Amino acid sequence: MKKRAVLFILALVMLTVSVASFASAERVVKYVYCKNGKPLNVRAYPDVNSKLLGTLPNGTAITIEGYTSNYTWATFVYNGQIAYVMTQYLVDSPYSPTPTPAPAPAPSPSGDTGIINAMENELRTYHVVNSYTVLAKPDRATGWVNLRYAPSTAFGHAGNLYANTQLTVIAETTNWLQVRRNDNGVTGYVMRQYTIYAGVGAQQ
Amino acid sequence: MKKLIAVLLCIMLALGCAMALAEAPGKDDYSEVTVNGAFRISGLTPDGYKVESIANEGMPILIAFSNEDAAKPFFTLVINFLEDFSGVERLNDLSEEERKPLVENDPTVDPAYTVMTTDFGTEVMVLRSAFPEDLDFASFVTLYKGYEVGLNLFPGEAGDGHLTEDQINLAMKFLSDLDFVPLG
Repeated sequence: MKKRAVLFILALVMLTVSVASFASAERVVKYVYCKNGKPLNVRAYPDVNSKLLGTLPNGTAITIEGYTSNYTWATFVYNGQIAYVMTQYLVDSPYSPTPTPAPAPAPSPSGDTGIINAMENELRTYHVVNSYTVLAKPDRATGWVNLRYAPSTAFGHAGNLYANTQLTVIAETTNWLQVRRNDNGVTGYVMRQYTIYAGVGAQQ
Repeated sequence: MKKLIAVLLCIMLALGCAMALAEAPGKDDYSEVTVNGAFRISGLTPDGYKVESIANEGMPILIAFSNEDAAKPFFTLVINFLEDFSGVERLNDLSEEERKPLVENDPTVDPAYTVMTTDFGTEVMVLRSAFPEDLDFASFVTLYKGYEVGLNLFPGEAGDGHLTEDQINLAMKFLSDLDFVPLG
């Protein structure tokens, strides 16, 4: 009887932990990148004060098993046990952390026509996609990514997207994603190089 | 048996606590924000401003301040833990070379940043927009106990889209008045 009760409670504990910890069950490969070249800390729990299990050098590929509900932490299997790293240090492809510098919004030689032509070219590649989730990934830890009204840096700001802001992708162009913010429903465009893929389907 | 259940319940509570990344401050109580039990930031909200929102479910912690006068700038205080700078007490402890990764690779930022020192002796990197004609902003970035603390200042909606020196000085004063109190 005692054993049964203990097993039941243990199962309950494990269920609670897994529900709280995993926002996505989709397994995707990500790569470690720390700007200053230091290895990334691997932790036992999604907490910066938790036990350090080891470190991973830049470029290490890891298979993500899921995320905490706020996407601050990604979980993976490390030396046979569940471990956590901060999502902000993961990139979608190896050694490609430095995005191509965003085009300057300075007026083009041909004035407004040049801007409109550039946006028209971008919109020619517009296509609706099956929704998936990305996270805003600014270059600076306390910086932001611009959400714009149109797929051009010449258009106004619809808001600032701080790190790990969850976005549902509605459509894509060559360099931009049309997205809807999961927190307030505002839609706009974000440069795809400032996002990181986080799973299929809209997340809450 | 009861003891066992009590122990397991304690484990559940402890796990729940471990997942909570920051203590929840009240929406209007900005005067003390506790960060991960590591330190507390206290400061005074500038006159005419109110705390618009606080997001502290995970990292980064984000506190937004707004002014009823739409011509006044708005600003955000953003706090994010940096694994690659864990163990660094203050920005003051880093060389110029070691600071570069904090700001490089951001094409929206003018690479020629300046450094100011708060009344508490904390050094702060002051970043300006590389394209003020697109979006003018000033960012004040410092480090404390492995956390990056950034204050981002933007022009008000009803303004001319640019920050004035007075507004930048106001933000510097706000940051300078912040007190970082270590915990534990």
